[in-house]
Amino acid sequence: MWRFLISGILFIASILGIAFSIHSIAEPVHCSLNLPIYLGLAPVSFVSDTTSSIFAILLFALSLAFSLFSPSYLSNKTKNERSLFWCGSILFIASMAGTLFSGNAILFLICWEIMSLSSAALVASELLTKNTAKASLIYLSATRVATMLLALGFLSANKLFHSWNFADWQLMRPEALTAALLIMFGCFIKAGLWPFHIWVPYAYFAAPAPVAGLMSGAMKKIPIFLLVHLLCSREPVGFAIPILFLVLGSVSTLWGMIFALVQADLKKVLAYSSIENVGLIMLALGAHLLGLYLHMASLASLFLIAAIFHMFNHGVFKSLLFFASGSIYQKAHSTNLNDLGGLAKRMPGTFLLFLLGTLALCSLPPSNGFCSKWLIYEGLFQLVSSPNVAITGSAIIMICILIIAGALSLATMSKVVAVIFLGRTRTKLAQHATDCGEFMIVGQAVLACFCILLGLFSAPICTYLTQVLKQESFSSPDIFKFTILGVLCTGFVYIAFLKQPKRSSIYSTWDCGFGPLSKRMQVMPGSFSQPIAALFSPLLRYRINAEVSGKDRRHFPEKVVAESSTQSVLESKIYTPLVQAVAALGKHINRLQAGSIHIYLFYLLMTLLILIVLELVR
Amino acid sequence: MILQVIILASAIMAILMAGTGQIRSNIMFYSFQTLCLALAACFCASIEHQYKHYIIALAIFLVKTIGLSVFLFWLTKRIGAVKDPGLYLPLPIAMHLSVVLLVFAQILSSHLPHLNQLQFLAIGGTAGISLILTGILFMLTRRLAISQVLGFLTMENGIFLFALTQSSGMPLFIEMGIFLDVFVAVMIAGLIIFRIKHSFEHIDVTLLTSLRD
Amino acid sequence: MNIAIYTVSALLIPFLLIGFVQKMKAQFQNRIGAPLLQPVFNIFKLFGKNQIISEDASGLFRAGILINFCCFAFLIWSVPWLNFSPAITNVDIFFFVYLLATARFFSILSALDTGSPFGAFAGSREATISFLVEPAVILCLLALSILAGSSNMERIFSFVSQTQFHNPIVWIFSGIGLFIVALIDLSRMPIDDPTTHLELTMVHEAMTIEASGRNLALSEISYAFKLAITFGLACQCLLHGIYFWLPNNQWIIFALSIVGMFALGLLLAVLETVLVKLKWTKCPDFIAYALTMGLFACIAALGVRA
Repeated sequence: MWRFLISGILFIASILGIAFSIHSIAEPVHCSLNLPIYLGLAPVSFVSDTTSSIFAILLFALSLAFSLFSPSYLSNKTKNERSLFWCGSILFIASMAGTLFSGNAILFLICWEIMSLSSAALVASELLTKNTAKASLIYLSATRVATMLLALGFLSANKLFHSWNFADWQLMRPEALTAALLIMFGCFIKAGLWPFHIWVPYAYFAAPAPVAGLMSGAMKKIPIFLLVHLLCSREPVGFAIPILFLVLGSVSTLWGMIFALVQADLKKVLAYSSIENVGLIMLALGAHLLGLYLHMASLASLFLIAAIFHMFNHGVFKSLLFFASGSIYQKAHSTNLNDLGGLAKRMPGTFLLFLLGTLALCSLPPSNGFCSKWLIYEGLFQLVSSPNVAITGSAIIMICILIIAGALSLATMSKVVAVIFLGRTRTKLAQHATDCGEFMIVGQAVLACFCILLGLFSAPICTYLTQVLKQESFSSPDIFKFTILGVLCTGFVYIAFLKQPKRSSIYSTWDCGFGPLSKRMQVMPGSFSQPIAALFSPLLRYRINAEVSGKDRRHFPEKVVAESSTQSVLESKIYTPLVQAVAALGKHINRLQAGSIHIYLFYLLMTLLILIVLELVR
Repeated sequence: MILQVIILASAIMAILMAGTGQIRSNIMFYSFQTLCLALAACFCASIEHQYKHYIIALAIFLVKTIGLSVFLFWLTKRIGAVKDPGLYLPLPIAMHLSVVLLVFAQILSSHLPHLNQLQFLAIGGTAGISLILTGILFMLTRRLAISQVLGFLTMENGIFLFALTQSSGMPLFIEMGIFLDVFVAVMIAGLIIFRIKHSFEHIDVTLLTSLRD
Repeated sequence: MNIAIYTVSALLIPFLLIGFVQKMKAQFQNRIGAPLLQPVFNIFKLFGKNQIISEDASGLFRAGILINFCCFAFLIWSVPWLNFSPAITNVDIFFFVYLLATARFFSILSALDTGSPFGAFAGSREATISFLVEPAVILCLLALSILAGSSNMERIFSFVSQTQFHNPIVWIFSGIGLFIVALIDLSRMPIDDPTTHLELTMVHEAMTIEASGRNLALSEISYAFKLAITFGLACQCLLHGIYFWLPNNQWIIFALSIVGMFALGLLLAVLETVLVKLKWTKCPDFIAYALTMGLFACIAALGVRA
């Protein structure tokens, strides 16, 4: 009963939040708490300007759907798990709102910390049911490193500009390069950009599905908000920062999708696809900075609008897909692709909503994912027309990378949809799945409605964003035709479906006369992706180990075992040795802590002697 | 204009050759390449009014396009090689790398001083350098001895094209000497390949390193 | 007026083209072959037939085929595959490629919906082929749009004369590249043999193996539309390549476009008779030729613009 109360409160709070954000887009609101309440170095001051409000609308929309979805998700969990979940998520959402609305760096850091720790607690919350101890530790360490870099960056920025307020910082000046780089790398780690993306699949796999949706939809956007707030709309002085964004963004896009193809778990596929989309957003931001550097104002504004719009779209459709994975997990008790199948007939509501989310993820027209990706393509095409050969060449390469990533996402998601929902069920567990509760469907349907609305009204939304962010209006291309296409298609399909076929008979699938097809005689996730994975085998270390055994192996094999394996080279060759080196170093340093009083007294005496000698020498 | 198209066509034939695995197709591409070269020499002769270029074009056509191709076809049939079994780079990547080398050749050639007065022959420099680089790539990434010969011949084509378009051509005797040298070299290489096949049962160059011991 | 031209052409040309290719292949095999309008007769027959749906299929099976058909119906009115301006303008090259991707997505899902192992084979191969082919398509079209200065398909392919548009080298390369892409995308030789139905070789046939009755008719119509669109685009590229020798009359160019499409059909028939189907692991090597043509076209376009 309590959970419905809590979720009701969250629902109302989200609606109020959305209303407040929409109001404060037009007129920014400042709010500062007075002196008894002080954060030690800076006052508690909240600022909601345009950028924060836009990001906050996304956050509150996601928390709206979260509040509708979570109560039913928690229905078969124990009381302790539920309280951990609610405490964690309310802290999480509140701290994310705090980061968005904070006016100075200290408050931002405090809210950022609360956000990281609460999300780490949520990631570790299903520790007992899933084997996720390693995943939680990896996530915790990644977020520690990110916070450390961010704090260092804030400290050096404070030293330069003598103020903790974000409004006073101008990070694009040459002397602020260290601070800018530190903040940027902290944001890259938290956003999961290549090569710092290792923690993303682990964390999203371990977290409960609604939390994973919130993390990928909202938490990944907070570092992007910081970057937009601090770095964008100010002219970069050097070539280096835009190029860094562009290179890391492009590699992320491709890398994420290649690895997504070979994953065997739904949440890991969605995690790698998040890496791809964050790469896309960073690419757009990098191109925005490049446009500012080249004094092409309309191009820069096009890319900024594209980045923000894509961030919106990604938040909405990725959370939709994660929520759907949550309902699959609850009813079929697994998100492993090898265990599911045939869920379209058993869970029709989830299937339809998952399909809508997939359309947006593969950026197929007329979904909202396509609208934002199309804006990026248009911008890259305008870069191609520039007179500098290097820029043209790299723009052509980036268009190719985006197309390849799009084709890979098509392959991945068609495999995922087919393996989960179509065909026959592969295990007994999935056979008894039924559709999830109404509130869960409503929660997902809310997000799906947002997707559809964002897609249909993409042109007015883009013009509104241009006005509101006070950018130069670019020649807004006619996106409205996508709406016409959508309406035409829907009309045509509806008319065609109205005519019911007079005679249609149901028969079994064509089996070439061999008898009924078994559960495994259909598409399996490993086999669908084998051709493309074989093409990328140097990168993925894709190997197929086959063992044929039996008395007379060559002519009459009794048992054939074939297993495909991939390996993340970045993780095994770079990160693991690094972590092991740090651990080894730590063990050596640990010997300093000998546990004996005599050694500690010795340390005190040595330090005293050294200080006296230093003072005498000076 | 047509001259530019023909010169580019020879460079493109070389790039397509880098992406083909069958030996017979490689030899066909090589002969088309040399045919384009002969035509280019004819055009250059008519533009610059140097009659020795006509003789050189005829020599190229007879010796390289027809003579060498027939010889290489005969050799391939005798040793029974159909396709190259050892490709160090996958064929698509080799082809795309050759295209990148073409772009690099264009950048390089635009920085070279124009020795020839005629502006539109600048593409000869591009195509020449690209042929040389493609030939080197071909030799580096293949294992069969015949492929090495074809790569070497492509390089030689590139050198000739570069000399033809960027200067007013080398003296006739030097050109004839080069022809004879190339022809004899290919004959000898063919005989050696045949002998290697005869004695070692394969014409795989990498296994020649076992002769070290 | 454009709408009328495109409607009439869409009803006639695709099916005549398929019939023509089949007839020419038969002639090369010393047979008389089926009548030219046989594809149309087949489609009418299929619409009258009973449809058999697998018991494992969900509603997505029929919906996917319908959406596939809708996408191609939209494309045939909005892509300039004839020399006139299309009925629906404002389609740019990225929208074109992604709409083809949508059609492909839904046809793969329909193929996999019935849980058939043939569908699984075909779906994975179709996904691989689309991954290899899409960069080639976008590079060819990108080269043309660099020349035209705009990414709107109608403006790229229009015959409004500005000398810069009509550099023959770029158009010929793009035309060859688009023709090779057409061969690959339509699952013709050397990627897939349309006359054999062996499991190891099928790509397109296995996608529609479970469809029957009106579903199969819609798939056949979509395939015919795809053939018309891809061959039409390739033919337009080649016509733009020989622009300097063309007269200025729209209707003569229209007649030449149709003749060109049928000439490409003849070329297809010759290739299908002469070529051998490639082993599946060698297919990426062949598809790389299309990408190389696209790269050449881009380089030439950049060279022209500089």
